[in-house]
Amino acid sequence: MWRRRARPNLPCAEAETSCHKALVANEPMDRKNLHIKVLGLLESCRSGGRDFVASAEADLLRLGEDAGSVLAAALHHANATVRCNALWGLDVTWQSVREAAVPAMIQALDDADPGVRRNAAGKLGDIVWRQQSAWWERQVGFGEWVKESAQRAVVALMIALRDDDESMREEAASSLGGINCWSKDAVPSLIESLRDRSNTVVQVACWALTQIGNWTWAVEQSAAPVKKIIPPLIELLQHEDGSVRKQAIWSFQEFRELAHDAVPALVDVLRHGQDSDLRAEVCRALADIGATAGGVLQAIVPALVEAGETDPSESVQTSAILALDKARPRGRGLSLPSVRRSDLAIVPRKQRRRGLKREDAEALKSLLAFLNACVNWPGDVVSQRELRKSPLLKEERKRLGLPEKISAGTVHNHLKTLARLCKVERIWDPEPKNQFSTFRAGVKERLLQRRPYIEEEIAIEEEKAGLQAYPERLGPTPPEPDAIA
Amino acid sequence: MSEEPTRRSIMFPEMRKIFREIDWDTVALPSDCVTLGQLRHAIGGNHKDLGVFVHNLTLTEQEVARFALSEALRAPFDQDAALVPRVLKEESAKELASLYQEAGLATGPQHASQLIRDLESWAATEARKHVPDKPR
Repeated sequence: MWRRRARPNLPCAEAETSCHKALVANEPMDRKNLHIKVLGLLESCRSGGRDFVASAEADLLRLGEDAGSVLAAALHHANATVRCNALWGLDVTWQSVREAAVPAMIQALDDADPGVRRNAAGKLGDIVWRQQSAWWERQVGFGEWVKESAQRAVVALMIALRDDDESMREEAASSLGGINCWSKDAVPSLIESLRDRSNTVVQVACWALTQIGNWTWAVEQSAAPVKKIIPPLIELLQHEDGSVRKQAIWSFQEFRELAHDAVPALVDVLRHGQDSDLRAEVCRALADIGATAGGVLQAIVPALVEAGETDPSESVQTSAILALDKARPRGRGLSLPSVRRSDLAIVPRKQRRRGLKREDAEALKSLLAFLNACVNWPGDVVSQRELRKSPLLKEERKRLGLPEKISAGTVHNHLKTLARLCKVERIWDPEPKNQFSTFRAGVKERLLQRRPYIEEEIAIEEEKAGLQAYPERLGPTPPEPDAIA
Repeated sequence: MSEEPTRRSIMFPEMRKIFREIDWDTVALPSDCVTLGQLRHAIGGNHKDLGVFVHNLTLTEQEVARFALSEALRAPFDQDAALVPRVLKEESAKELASLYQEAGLATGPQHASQLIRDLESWAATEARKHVPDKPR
């Protein structure tokens, strides 16, 4: 899937080390000299390393608000590299330059050099995005100008979508997708770009439309832009280029329930498409659409069942089965009449064998019997089997009114619970080369400490169930709090 | 948390009274909104399992709520005493989470945890009614 690439925020060329050193060595200097130095830096950016970039950034930031005028002037420099570096400088100093940055960059969109134009289109998106983020997070006291700048940038980028240079169009579409919260008005222009002669531009425009559609739906709760976007994206499923078709499928997957109109077209690709990768992608998209839009399951489920059973590619079959599992109305009951259980038979649901859960008091008594058996165990060496079969445990269970037999699973669970109550990983350590284990130090004492609390829980539980409250262990019923008072 | 032998919770007589007074029929629980359709889906068509599933769901839910309340009542006085209901609650909560998901009450583990946290907050509120001036 096409995604916006993170651009390194560096000057477009590197600096000559000797020139750079000469410039940097000039400190301290007054404001006028600093201006000269910055212009010099912009001119000298041909070769240099990270140190140079850091120092150039520092110099630009020292200029503060003045950086705007210096860099705007540099945008008219005869050398295209200097103009490119001035764009980089604006990007670095966006916080101090404030509203001057966007108009300067918009101006650079008309530059004679395609490289500068391309750079300006990319940086414009970045800077608007940063400004809006800072505005939202209230990091800086930006005013209404952020909105105005963004709107102006969107208009300029919409015009840039018609540039002759393919890379420029790509950057412009990418920037519009990046600043999706402002780009709602650019939807018609981006839809036009879906007919671009460059497949890359089409892919980027498709991505940008998805970003804008998702934003308007998620934040503004408006499905209107998506309604406009879906039909041209459906047409893209017939595009000659496989990457473009895949990008469109990904867009439907992102739109989820909003893409229900695309289901017939997607099902058609699943049934008649030649590319197995695309068919697998369609399965995933249908899963996401079906999981959120129950109304289209009637169309989705039979297609996925068919693909799961008869598709020539095994990977598509697997994708279809997984998709079917995801799309079916789990947790919403079978209230949708369109879904028949026989349709879902391809992924038979693993049914748990259910047993009647024991009442709380009974389960707690079982735990208490186990605890008592551990506490009264003669010696420190024990094995799980030995304990389970021991007369001590049987007697204890009988005394508490429980059946004498206990399953290995219950023993295992009780051991885990007791270990947690003692705040240890396990209550006994296995002996090396031996089937027996040894009680951990202090475990029996801790178990003894916990016993009264378990007994209290049993008493409360029995009382809740209307039984006599475990009198033989608790002794006489304590007086009521009122009586204590 | 100290490992020293602790005195028995002074709250116990009062706790018994509190538990006796709780009317479980009026406690709002997540399973209040479960429908027969959801239950039918949960049991996967085997109608004999319906009663068992409902029994397990309601019992486990009440068990978690009860242990949570027990923990909330004990915790201000004795952390060691609160450990027992806490461990028992956590054991039951695992089972309850899977039951919530099977019943369609929760869309996933996170949602199930949220529902269980609701039970815990009910318990904390209930406990606060009885021990208002104790640190929590």
